[in-house]
Amino acid sequence: MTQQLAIVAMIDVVAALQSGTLEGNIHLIDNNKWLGSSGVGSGNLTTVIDVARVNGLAQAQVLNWLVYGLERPPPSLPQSFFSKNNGGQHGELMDISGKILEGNELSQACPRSPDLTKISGEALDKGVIYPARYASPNLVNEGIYWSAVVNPDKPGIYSYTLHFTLYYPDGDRGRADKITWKTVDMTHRARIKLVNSPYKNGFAMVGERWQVGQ
Amino acid sequence: MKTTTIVSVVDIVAALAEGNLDGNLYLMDTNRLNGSRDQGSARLKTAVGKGDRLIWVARMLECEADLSIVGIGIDSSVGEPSEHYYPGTNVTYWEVVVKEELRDHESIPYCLEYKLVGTEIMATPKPADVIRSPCLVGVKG
Repeated sequence: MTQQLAIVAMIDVVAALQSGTLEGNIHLIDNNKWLGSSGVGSGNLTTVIDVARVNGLAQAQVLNWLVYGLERPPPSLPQSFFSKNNGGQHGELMDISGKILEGNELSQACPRSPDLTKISGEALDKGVIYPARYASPNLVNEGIYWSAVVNPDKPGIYSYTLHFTLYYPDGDRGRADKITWKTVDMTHRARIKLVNSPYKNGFAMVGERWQVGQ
Repeated sequence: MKTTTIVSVVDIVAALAEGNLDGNLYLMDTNRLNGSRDQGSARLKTAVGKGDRLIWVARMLECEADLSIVGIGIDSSVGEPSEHYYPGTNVTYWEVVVKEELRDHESIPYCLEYKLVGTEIMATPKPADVIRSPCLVGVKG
């Protein structure tokens, strides 16, 4: 059975820009805590992926990364809400409640959503995941998301690095037509753990250790 | 007027499977640099001052699993929650304007109530308490 795994990266863009780092300002949340994912909700996520074969067949596991700015109106809003005549193509000229900002109110404008621009690191170098950037008619994040297929023949723990571009407004903040968006690139590391059997209880490793000792 | 956004993310499939929000709710706010704590947990402590505008929004973990906030229970002397729609949509946010200055490190626990996949109602602990619930906390200066 193909399983769709979601990894959501929530970024406090303003705090990350102020402190110059994603440390403490990014939260990674996946939907595999039941399988043993650890650090869910923190910056220190290890996503557990079950690559056990069933009847000799590998299970196709697909990882999906979605990136949200904490300060942004929810992505469940219809795309038309963010349209050009409703506060800019990216909705950057509205506040969190969707109010269109004018003149000197623009300092309250929500930063643009960060972009995930690249995924690199050990998990790719060792041929464990094969990520790519996709565009879809999906309603969230302008349809941009990253997805990866997982190689089921590589059990173990691997790190990967997420490369983000964060945006901040520059220029005359009193005038909507004078704002330009400057960028800052930041990276963050996370891990995946490929396990060969459903990891439904914390004692699953005990049997292996026993056998080593015998 | 300072605005702090408080974002809820719920692992809806896990919450439905287990019948509650324990361990399946992640709260984050935009005021960490001013003293908010326990980010990414269901016990978020949001640093607030008098007059602050707090906005709660909900986000689903999976696109197909719908989530909305349907109630906030908090001491009415601290703030009175109101529900608002984003103009022209059926998506809501909740707002509280903090009425009074909290003492340094004073904690006001509150309860969040959600509707999952359009039907299931689930809430954080009732009554709210300072240990297990999200709180507003006073931070001087």
